[in-house]
Amino acid sequence: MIDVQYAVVLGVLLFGVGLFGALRSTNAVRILMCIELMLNAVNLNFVAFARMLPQGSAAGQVFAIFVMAVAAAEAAVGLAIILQVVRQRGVAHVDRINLLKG
Amino acid sequence: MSILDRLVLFLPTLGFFVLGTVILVSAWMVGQVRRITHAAFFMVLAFTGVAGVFVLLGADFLAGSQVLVYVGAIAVMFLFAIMVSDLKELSGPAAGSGPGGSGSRAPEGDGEAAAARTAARAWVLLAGLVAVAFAGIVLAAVAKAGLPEVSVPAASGEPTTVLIGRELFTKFLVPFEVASVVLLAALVGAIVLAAREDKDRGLGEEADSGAGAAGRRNGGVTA
Repeated sequence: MIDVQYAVVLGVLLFGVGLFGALRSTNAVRILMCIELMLNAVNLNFVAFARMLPQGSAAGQVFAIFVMAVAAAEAAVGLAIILQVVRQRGVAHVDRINLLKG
Repeated sequence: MSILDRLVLFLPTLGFFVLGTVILVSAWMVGQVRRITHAAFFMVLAFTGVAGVFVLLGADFLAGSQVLVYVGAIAVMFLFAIMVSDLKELSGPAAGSGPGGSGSRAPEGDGEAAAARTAARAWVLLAGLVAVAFAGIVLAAVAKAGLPEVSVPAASGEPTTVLIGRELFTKFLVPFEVASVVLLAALVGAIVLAAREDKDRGLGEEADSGAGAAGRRNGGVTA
């Protein structure tokens, strides 16, 4: 038996680790990976809290499926943007992407 | 026999803690490991662990789609993007790669490099502070909320696919359609963004090849 609380705590910790990774790294691809991990943590929380709904309702899991769809779209567009930036600037470091800087 | 029964009851909890450790460690490694390819594989490990937790939480369909979508599609897309953009900087700790690299190869520190290293360390500290503060606040909220003791049945037996399908196509029909439009827009946008524009080819030729690709894609979809 797994308490819902355990899963929620795991989700929070995973989100924190992903947040730390996303904030500390300068590589755009790595930041995107950490964002995916954070979305996964959110999914974990959705599924955990879905257990508290009345039996016969799968709303939490449906929400998690929507999050997956958005995550896939975000990864596709984000990677395409990074690819284009790498082609044009030769770097994937967010500190050095300063085209708009005056 | 009673010990065996207790062991069987205890097994999901044990599995949960093992999976949680695997998830957290590999998620940590995604941010720390030097090579970006290794980070991608650690990400795969974390995703697989989350799929296992989904199984333990009784969400079997979601676990399957987690493996299919995240491990099968997103992680492979990341690996392709890393390998297509063949940058040395992407796969190694290049000099001056900032906080993640920590590889300033110049020990005879001129002041600039030293200052950059100090700034990077301060940045890492700040990031850690933000993450710890976030986790602390949310954990405090969770502890204060006092979640009811809803224990998850170890094996509910029946698949959740029917339930999800019914809700997806009745209550959540409009969001479902919107999600499909979002995916289509992302697909088109990614293709447009990632398309390589060749300098030495004419515009007309490029348009032609684009139309050909679109036609082929359409053909593949309808076939």
